[in-house]
Amino acid sequence: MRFLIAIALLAAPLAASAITFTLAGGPPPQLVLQVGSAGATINEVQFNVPPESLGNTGTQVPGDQPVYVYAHMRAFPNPRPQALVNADSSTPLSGSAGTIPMTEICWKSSEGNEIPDGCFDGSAAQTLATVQNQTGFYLTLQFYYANTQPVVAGTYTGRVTYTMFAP
Amino acid sequence: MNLLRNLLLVAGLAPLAAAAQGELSALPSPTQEVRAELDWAVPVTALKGAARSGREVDALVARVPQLDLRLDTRRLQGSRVRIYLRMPSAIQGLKGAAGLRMTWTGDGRFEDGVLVPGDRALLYAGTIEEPELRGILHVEFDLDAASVSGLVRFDPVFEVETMGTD
Repeated sequence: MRFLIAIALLAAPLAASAITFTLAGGPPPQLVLQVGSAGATINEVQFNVPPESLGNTGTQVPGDQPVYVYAHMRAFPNPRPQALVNADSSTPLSGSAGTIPMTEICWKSSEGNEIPDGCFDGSAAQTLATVQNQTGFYLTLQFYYANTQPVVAGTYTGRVTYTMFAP
Repeated sequence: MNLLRNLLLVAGLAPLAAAAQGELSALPSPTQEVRAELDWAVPVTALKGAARSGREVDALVARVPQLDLRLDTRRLQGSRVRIYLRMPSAIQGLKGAAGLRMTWTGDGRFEDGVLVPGDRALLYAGTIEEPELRGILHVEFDLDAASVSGLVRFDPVFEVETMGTD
């Protein structure tokens, strides 16, 4: 009888699977932006202008450390067209001797060109890069002090805030 | 009668010499329509620590922690079989086969396995003793969000190879 069962198995059409897998839903869209170190650390870049460069406009002064920028957008299943990485440099560098506009701070990009070489424009929302959905970038910014105008000797500090949003 | 019996025995030897192949139906059960929710595989908090590749960032995961799998094995009782789980090569809602991987761990009765579209993996090997082969699978689907165009949906196929009888 077992042999007969085997023959029937060969001859009879067999039903297809009755299980259906459905993978649905979607997590909330997310924007990822990291400028400098991870966590709450605010990285500080110092430009030490040597005496011979004081007032010697046009002599660029490099910053003491590079800054890493990492940005990524992930939106599923309803993708946004793009996200923008902006910088707010509207507050100038300030010190006891006065202020220096943020337009004096420039950078060169390496390991990626999504943020082109440039300078801060002193605005509250300077668009540095656009990020398409499901894409991102990772690059390094090497800042330098452009030194295009004479300033009074002293220590000047300031802060630039980066934001990322998908309109 | 003797002649007829001998003919049947000769014919019955064929499945022993070469494994018979066919599909196996799954029994209707509460898990017949299996739905899993997609989520990001890497939480955003984990992304802040270090640079990640785009593939890691866009990885989606869907889990079915307790899939009560019930296979109708009435016609196979007494047979030594190998049962495979096959994923169709064309998946609804998926742009490319590289965008989906199914991984499962069995409960001892079913084998562990990994599967991509168009492939099959061994699910069970042994003698069928009961009219129903039943076990629990922990299933995980890994997807690339860039490859997903909509609702991902597919019907797996259970293929059986009959090796003979005990």
